[in-house]
Amino acid sequence: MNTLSGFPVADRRRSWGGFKTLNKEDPLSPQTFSTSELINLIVSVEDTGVGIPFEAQSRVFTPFMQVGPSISRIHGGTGIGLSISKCLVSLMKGEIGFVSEPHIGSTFTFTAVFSSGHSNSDEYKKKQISKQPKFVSSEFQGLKALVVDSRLVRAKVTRYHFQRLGIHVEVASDLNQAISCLTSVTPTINMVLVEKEAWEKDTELSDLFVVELRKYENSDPLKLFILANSIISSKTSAAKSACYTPIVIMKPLRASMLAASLQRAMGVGNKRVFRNGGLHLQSLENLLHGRQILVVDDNKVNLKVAAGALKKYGAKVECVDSGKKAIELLEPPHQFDACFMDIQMPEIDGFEATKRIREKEHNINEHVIQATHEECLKYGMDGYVSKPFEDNGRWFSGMHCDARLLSVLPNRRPHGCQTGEELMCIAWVAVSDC
Amino acid sequence: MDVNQLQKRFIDYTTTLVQEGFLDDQFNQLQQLQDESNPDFVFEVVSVFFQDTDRLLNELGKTLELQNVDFKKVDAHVHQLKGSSSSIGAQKVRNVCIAFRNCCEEQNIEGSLRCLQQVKHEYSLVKNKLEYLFSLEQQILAAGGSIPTWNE
Repeated sequence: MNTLSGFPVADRRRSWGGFKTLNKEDPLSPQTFSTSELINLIVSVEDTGVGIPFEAQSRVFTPFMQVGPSISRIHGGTGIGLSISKCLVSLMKGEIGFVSEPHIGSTFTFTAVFSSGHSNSDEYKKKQISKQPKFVSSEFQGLKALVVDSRLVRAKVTRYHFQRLGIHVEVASDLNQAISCLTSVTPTINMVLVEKEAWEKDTELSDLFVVELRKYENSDPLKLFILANSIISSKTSAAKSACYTPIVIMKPLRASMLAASLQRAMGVGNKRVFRNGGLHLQSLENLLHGRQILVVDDNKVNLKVAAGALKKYGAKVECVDSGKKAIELLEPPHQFDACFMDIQMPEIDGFEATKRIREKEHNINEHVIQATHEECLKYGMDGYVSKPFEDNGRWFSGMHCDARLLSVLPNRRPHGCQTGEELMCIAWVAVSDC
Repeated sequence: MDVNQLQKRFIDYTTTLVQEGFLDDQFNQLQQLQDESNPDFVFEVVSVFFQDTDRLLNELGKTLELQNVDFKKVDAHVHQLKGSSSSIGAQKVRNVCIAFRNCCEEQNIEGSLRCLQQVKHEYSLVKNKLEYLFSLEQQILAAGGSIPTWNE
């Protein structure tokens, strides 16, 4: 299935089938061609959700209409989102449409007319330059990566991210192909990234792959990464083998975190330069200054280090040493903007604490929480950071300014050549540091 | 000794500790967190580490002496020690903890006792060295100087 998710989707072409703006044959329709001043954009959003029942489809843009009474109870909302969208689209001289198939998903498409941004071209260029993130990406220039992924569309996205860093990408659809790539491809490969799916498919094959990898390495050690959007099962036997512990890079890929993970793993470039010129420390200060943060860890040393790191950027930190106390302090209403919580704690662990906190906040019925992700996503966590905390910008790179709780995943690094630091689970901040 | 010599000795000593593997980069990171608003940060963190480790080593000794050793408990303590030594950069201590946890997994009493000895040994070494480092700090401050920072 040639889609990003690998699941079937509703055919997007049917979502814009009725658009007048695309219908060149109708002489009466208002045609909005793109000119040098005006640009007609078309945007399509495709999901693999539950879809909209056919009998409800005609009233989808009607204000206050939802598919059924259960929607507002489960998902919230008042049913005016789409009618507002339709008004906005119309004000922007566009059209909106959709196609939806129950149990497959929906695709919504709209057009809108924008004026060209290049009319003030000098100003535009200046803005671009000042916003340019200072990635220390030149050190990756010319490196070569082998990506192992059976899904073409997904591999394309991965390739895009690597090419932004100047890394050339070769794609293999599975580990077998990857093994033949290793021997036949020139110039030599510097790193291998394997999609979690491909890695876990066959443990014997992944073991074999590791063996081949070791044969392939000569002077430069080859780094192996697993691309995952959730925790890798600890049963992966290759992970337990002494010297080849694959490093996990979390998806979705973000340029800054990718650069940081690669730098750390490959030790490329001058570490000091990275630390100062890497992620914008000023934006970290902006992000954290004045924020009230709760740190939860039963280990007093870790609490102190975490608090010190956060305070450095101007945050106001409160520390507690148990899940129980965290639940008490995070009882709504409270003043905290973010919470850093350890997973492994006695009595009430991080998962359980987060689950209870979430329940109080959203009154979510446990059955509704989709159990499609790993354990901690189920409990409402959405990001992870590894301890010990390091005072460099990259470990906050995933932080979002709004107060949404982000998911957190624990990542217990297996024993071996790498240090086995425990990972802290964080609510509200997604940070990955392999 | 004048301030400059003291400061140089401070830097050299820290560098040696890192080179010899007693401390790792995490310790440098902690030093970077110390500033005017938080002038005793490293000392405070390390002090908590000393207190906590003394307690843990004591507990470990007791737990391993019992007739039926509760390895889950032993592992829990070692896990704590591994975490805190990691957080301050006490590399050798942390490395022993890794081996120690393997012994716990294997329910190996002799191995665990050996590891306990080893971890006590590494801890006392790094404790002495850190205490010396702090005494240098005190001398520098008393002589009117400032502690060298690591923002190269």
